[in-house]
Amino acid sequence: MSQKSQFTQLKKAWGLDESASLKELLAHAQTKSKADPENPELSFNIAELLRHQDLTKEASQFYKEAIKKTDTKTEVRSNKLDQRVKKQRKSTRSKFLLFTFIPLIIAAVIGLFAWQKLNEPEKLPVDSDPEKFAFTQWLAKQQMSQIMTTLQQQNPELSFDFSSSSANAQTPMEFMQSLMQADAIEKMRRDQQKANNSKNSEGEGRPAFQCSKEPAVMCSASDIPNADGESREEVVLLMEAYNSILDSEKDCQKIEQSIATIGQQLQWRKSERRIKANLEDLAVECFYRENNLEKTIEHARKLQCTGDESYINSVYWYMTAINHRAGDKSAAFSSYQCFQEATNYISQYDFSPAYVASRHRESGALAWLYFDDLSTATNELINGRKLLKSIPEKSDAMLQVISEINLDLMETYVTANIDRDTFIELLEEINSSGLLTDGYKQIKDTLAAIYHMQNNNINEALIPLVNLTSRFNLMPEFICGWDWSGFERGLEESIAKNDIREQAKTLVSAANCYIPQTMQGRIQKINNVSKWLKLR
Amino acid sequence: MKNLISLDSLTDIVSNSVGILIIFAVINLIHDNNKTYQLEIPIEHRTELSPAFFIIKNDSILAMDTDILFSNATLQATRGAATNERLFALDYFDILGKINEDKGVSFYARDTSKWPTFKELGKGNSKLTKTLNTLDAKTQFAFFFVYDSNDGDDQSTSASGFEAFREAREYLKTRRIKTGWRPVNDEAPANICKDHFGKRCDYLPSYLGDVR
Repeated sequence: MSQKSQFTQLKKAWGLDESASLKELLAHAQTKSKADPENPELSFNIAELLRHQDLTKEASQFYKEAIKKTDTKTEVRSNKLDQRVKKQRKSTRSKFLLFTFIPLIIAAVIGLFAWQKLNEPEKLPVDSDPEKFAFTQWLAKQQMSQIMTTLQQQNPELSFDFSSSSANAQTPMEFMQSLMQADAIEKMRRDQQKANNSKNSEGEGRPAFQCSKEPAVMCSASDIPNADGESREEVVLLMEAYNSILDSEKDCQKIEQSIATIGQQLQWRKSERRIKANLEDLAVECFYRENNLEKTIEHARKLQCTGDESYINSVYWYMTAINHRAGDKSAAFSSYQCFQEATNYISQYDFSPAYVASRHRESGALAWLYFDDLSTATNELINGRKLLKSIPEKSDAMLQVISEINLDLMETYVTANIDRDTFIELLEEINSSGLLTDGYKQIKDTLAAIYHMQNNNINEALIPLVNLTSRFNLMPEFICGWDWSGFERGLEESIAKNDIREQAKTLVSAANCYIPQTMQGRIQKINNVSKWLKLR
Repeated sequence: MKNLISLDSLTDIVSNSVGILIIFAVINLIHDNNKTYQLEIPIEHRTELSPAFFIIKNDSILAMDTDILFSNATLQATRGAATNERLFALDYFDILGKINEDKGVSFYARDTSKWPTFKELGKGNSKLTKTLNTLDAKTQFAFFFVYDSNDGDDQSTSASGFEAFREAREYLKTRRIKTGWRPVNDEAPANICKDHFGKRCDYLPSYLGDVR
């Protein structure tokens, strides 16, 4: 663009006549510049006009001014652009954050809702009749109606009336049971027993135990835990807790009733037979304590029917004891032989040494308590002791069993009035084990006192007597599980002198936890023996 | 200084009967300010007595009917409601149950508004007194799960169930019934499990019931 045309353009743009001179143009530009002092274009035009009038110096000043104003404008524009970019960036970031986190927030809300729903306490149904919830009951009813339909189809002459208006209203289940005669039920029991035994063999890899001295036990269907499925952990824990309550309450009728009710509610699974066995064992022990022969035997058989081999010895222990109490020595002896067979059986398979040794201990106790067989008793105890002593690394359970066996052995040693060295060696081992409870320490000290009394070691006899009285003084309750009957019988022969025997009997009576008496009464008896000894 | 500490005036106070009474009054006041509870030494021991369980929370005492609680828990377990350590309702005074390996069956106490408060103790017609009176000293002892915090209920006398526990213990002691206890809270609630789990499943009496 030429200068001339430029100025022509300017004149047009500013609305001046084409004939206007440069001076007029300059004056107009300067006037405009005053009105718009920040306009770099006006400064440039003024500079150009000045240059064309040969005012170079002034022109140069306006050129610089134009450049300065341009710079200022550029900076302002840059700032604005910068702000705009920043604003845009902020908006983009907000959108990004929003769209990134919205799915996460939604997922968290859904997750929280689901978690709350899952952890919402299960409500107990209003109608809490257990039969309503037992799937097996429902299944049985379905199967029963199917059987009835088939029966009717094949035997059109048969008619069934299950209505409540009928005189002998029966449910389909009751009707089917009534159709089954004794033989049929017997056959069903035998089949179930066989099935149960074969399942045992399959599961544990060993044949089911059968005592040679008695026929196979007949079990009713309800006594055999044979439902399929894995063990329900929560049911096991629940029953273990309930078992401890029943155990402490010692209410035999309640235990019996609970077994029936729980069995109906839970529909015992084969994998849960240990729980059923626990409960039956509790019932056996309870009825045995009550001296109820019939119920003890009934529940001992039910315990057998659970098929849990950990309880075989328990079954025969109680059978031996209860039969002996009832005066049936022959039955007691058969049960004892079964106990021994059971001990041999568990010795062959993968039962723990502590468990096997405990059974030897029980066998010894039975032989001594009920059959006066001191030799078998001692041998069984020594066998149990040897078994555990031969194991290099002993668990706490093993040490506990050893301490109990040692105490039993001590009773046989005192009865047999064994040589002093053997007795002292055993006593030392018992004293150093530190595993006896206070109750059993009382038994130990009573036996030690009697041993020293029968050997006229008066000073040595007085030491355990002092221990006995001081311990009784501190005991809030005297708890032990010690049957003195065998020892008391043995006293007749083991202590020749009448006066010493009488004092020994007094001590036994003081240390018998099954004889209800006050602590002061027990202490008084022991003090009387001490006085008698000191006067000798 | 000599005027301030005068031995004569001190002798006057001590020898004067009114002065002696003042000294006694001051001693009594100090004694009252340092009032302490006479604590009985607990002797926790094995027992042949069976435990009757109670939960104490917010000054209220609830007798746990284990027959109902376990029957309902069994029902829930057969329905699968107790799997995976889930909480389930026991339909017994708003108590929730949970079964897990460590604690056996846990009982979560929540709303105690329907429980009898310990203030009813000793009142002849109160349900709580009747319940405690059914305990047989020869076969039973009372075991209390005592909450050591409350739900912020301002009505309660103390900030825990201990006041109620002490009262109940004293009441039972007069009836020669032994008592045992364990502190519980919402994280470690009352629980019943088999004793082979160890110490935490031991329910032993610690206070003797015999009045000497």
